[in-house]
Formats: sequence, C-alpha cells, structure tokens
Amino acid sequence: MTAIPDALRPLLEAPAIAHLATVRPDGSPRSSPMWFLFDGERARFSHTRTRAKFRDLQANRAMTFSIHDPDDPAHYVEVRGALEEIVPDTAGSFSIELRRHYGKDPVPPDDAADRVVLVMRIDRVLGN
Amino acid sequence: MTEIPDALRPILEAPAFAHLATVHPDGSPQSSPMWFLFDGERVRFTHTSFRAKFRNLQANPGMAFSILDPEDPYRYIEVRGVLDEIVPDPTGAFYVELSRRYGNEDPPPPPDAADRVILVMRIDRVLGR
Repeated sequence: MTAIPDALRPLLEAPAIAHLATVRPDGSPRSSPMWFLFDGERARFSHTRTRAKFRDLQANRAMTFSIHDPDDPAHYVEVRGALEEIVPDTAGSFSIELRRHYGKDPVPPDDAADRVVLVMRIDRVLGN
Repeated sequence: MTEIPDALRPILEAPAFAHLATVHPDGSPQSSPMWFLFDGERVRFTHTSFRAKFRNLQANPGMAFSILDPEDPYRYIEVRGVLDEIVPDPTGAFYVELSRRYGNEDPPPPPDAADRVILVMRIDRVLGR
C-alpha cells in the first residue's frame, strides 16, 4: 500500500468526519460527510444498498475523501483510492463498531438489513 | 435557482469549511477543504489557475461540496452544481476578503496573487439535514 505521512496519520485515526466523494453516473461529483474506520491499511465506511453513493460505486469504483482538523483547518488530508470490496453487515456489527469509535451508544442501526461495509483501498495520500 | 431549505441556509452562511469535489480527467474524484462565500445565489471559492481542481474543471465543470455544521455535527449540507464563471483575482482581493471572513485580522495578499481566480459555482441541488 501507499505510504502515509506521519503528520497526516492522526487525522485518519481520530474519530473525524470524512467528506467522501464519488462520481455519479452522469460524470458529476457527489460529496457527503461520513463516519469511517481506518485499520492501518484500508478505510471502511458503513453504508446501505439503497443509497445513492452505493449506486455511484457500481458504475465507478473510484473514491476520494478529505478531512480537516477542526482545531487547525489548514491541517488536512486527502485520500484517493477505489472500492475494493463490499461486505454485507446485516447484523449491523460494523455500524456498532463505528458508533463506538465515534463515542456513541453502540446500538444496531434501524436499517441493518440493508447495511454494507464499503472497503476502500488507499492509492494516494496528500495533505498538509 | 434551486430552493435552499431554510434549515440548511445557516450552514451556507457560516464561515465553515466546504469539502469541494471535482472530477479528474481519468474519471476519479478529487476532494479538498476550501473557504467559500455564498452570496445568496451562487458560491464563490478562491483558487489558482495552476492547481488540480482548476484543470479538472476545464474538462468537467461538475462541482459538489459538503459542509458539516460547526455548531452541530449531526447537521450537514450537500450542494451540487457546475462552474458558472471564472473571475480573475490578480490582486488577491477576494482571497483577502475570504481570509478576513475566516478569522485572520489583517491578511496580506497571497504570494500567488497573480494566478488567483474566483471559481463561481451555480447551485443546482441542495440536500442535507
């Protein structure tokens, strides 16, 4: 995998909000805030099969997200990569793990039946 | 122009960070945090004519950004649209205006003023909660 500069790694490890961009079928971009978990190698997002981003990724697997440090906005990271795998999460267990990471009550989501984990391969890390 | 729900308007009016996505010529997205100014109709970003986003927009004018409400991280807005206009900013005046808006008291013009441009985005769709 790609090298991640030490100065940027804390932004990936903190429970920060990632703004995840995908490309819509018409070729225009979409951006939305997402929780994620970085396992040291890949980034994982909780998502559902019914949502727009999931459909975007069926046609174009490219994913990019950016995060800024709320305490120091000039400090940011941009991560480029691609959807590597979609893992069903019908028990909502990854969603629960994410909630715990973000300091929320670890309860299963209402839409667990449609839940998936989007596993993103990291190709490039930029930032400041 | 598109309707902006009243509940989301304060997020566009605050000096928050917009994560602006464009599309690279290879079809993959690019995203980075940006200062911006919403004038009630269009959104303006300060940029330079030599950066990746500028080049991306030459080929694909699609733009989208998302912002978290600094006051309440459960609230956010997603805005989609296209590049409407590129306005030269050779003195960096718009950069300085934005810098002041984001809390810098007496900002000098940017060292890259000669290459500064204003990306003016037309809003086509607003989502959020």
